Amino acid sequence: MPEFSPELLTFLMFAGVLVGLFMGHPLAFILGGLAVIFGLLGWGFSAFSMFANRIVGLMDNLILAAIPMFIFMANLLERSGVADGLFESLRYLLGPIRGGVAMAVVVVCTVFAACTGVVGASVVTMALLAMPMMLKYGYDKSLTCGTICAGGTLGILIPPSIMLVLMADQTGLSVGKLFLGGIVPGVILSCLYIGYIAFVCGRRPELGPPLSMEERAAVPVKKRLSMAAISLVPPVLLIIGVLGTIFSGIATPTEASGVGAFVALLMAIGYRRFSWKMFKDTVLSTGRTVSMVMMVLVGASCFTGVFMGVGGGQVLTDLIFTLGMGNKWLILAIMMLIVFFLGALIDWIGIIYITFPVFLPIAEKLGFDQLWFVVLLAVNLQNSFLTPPFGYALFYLKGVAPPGVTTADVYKGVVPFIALMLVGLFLCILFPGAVTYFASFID
Amino acid sequence: MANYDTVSGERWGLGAEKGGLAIRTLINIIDTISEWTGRFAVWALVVVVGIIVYEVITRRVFGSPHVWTYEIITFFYGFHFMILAAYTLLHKGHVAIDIIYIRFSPKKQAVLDLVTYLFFFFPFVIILLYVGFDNAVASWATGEKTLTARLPLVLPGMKTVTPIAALLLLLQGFSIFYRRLFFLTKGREL
Repeated sequence: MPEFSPELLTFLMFAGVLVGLFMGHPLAFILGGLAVIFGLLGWGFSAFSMFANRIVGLMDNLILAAIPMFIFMANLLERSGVADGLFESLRYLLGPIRGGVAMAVVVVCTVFAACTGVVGASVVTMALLAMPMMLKYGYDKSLTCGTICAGGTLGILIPPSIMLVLMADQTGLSVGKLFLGGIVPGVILSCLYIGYIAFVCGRRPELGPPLSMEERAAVPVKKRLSMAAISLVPPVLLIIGVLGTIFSGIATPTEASGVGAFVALLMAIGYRRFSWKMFKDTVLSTGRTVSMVMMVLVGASCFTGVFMGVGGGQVLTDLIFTLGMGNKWLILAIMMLIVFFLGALIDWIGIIYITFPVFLPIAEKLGFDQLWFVVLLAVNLQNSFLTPPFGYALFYLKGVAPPGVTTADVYKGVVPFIALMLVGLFLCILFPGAVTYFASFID
Repeated sequence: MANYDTVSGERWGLGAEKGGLAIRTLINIIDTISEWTGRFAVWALVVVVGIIVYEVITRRVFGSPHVWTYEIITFFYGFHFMILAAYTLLHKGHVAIDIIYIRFSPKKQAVLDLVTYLFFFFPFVIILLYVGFDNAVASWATGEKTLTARLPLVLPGMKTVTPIAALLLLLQGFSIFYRRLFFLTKGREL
């Protein structure tokens, strides 16, 4: 068998992912298939016994077991109509302001994000809920699309987030610490979005006109406040319950996710949305989402095993140090750029699996705080949902958007929000305390 | 990407043509196996939630923790997502990007599917079946026990899940592959 240089294999492995994606094949099996092909090319048949061990490693893993239950909790909440009630009340509360309905979307997404941690769920829910409404009120299509995509993506950053659970598993940091680290950056992004909406709609009211007088008159201010309070209380209690037990160390994240799913079920019963059929449908659709996420993990895990084995990690490390010219901030910028550009191509699971084994040793060598560095990557990975061509939030949105909304509207709409995410990332780099302050309270 | 299937609810089906082909019956049987293993395996997650709620209550309220619960939980959690892989494939639920794919003619799409299944899907799944089987046999032979609670059966059982999931995936992959081949050669859905 001819010898291939690690540089060539590294390049071909990335090129292979792109080719497979463009051909429309599921990402999980592209990654797995490439692991087989390049395992043979660079290593031989003995590479494959690692696959079985890696998969058992994913299965026999109490931290990752939280992922399906958080997804289950999210799906139960989605069907219990928490977001509906919250959006309805906030729409009346913020509607009189220019751009108020868009702000309501961001607020609902922030609260909903704190209950779910699944991007698909929040983007689809908000698109179905808010999009027809915003278009009816005359909101600009691009602004509508951008708001929903960016807001829905917050779910992956604001705890409990399945991304942070996976990062905890990959780094050895505790889930609780990462959750605490993710809160402030998530709120910063959320505030940036609201500020941006206020700014553009303030200058050009036609982008986000306030509610009409008749509509305002229908619901008095007092009623609006009480509606908002009533719809906010149960989800906020659930968040406090789930996060509080994790932060205080009463329960492990896995226990909290299981109890959270159970409480979400009770909430669905409380909201009178529960039926046997609803429960069965939720269990089935949760199964499909869980298997989708976890099979990408399976494929990515095998891919990374081979990638590191054929020397791809060393190639990437050398490249980063060469380009960085020994300046640690330049190296940090290069790593962030790599994640940003990978984000335009593959999804967050693949990126975490490929970059973490390479980046974490580099960050350690440069003396960066591990928690801070990991949360920076989490903030940066927000972009991976929005950056074309492969921004997953864009696909989710386009899948459920009304016919009048074009792909161009969606792409145009997310551009300012991508810029805002980069501003948020920059703020977290500038003020590390935003990440590390709260996390320093627990061990 | 029509993959968030609470919205799309897509699933591989069969064309209108009835009877005649023995292979049609085979494909139908495979789809049914994937469907019902999926409908069975999804409940594993409900079992996990149940065990956790039970454990939290007994430990926090009655102060009697059980070590074994966590080892049982990981088994059911692993079983859940692995066995569901074939069911999710049947329901077109695995995340893929069709932004370019949909611009091709249906025949070219079939060619793309055949190529990608041959180069990516089948090699991976067959290797998983092979190494997973070896791993499971070795585990049963040595009678591995879990590390903390020393439970028998759990680890060998968990290791047996991989080859079973791979076999189910292989069957479902064949079912889709044959459909695409039939469409390419005959110009109509199976």
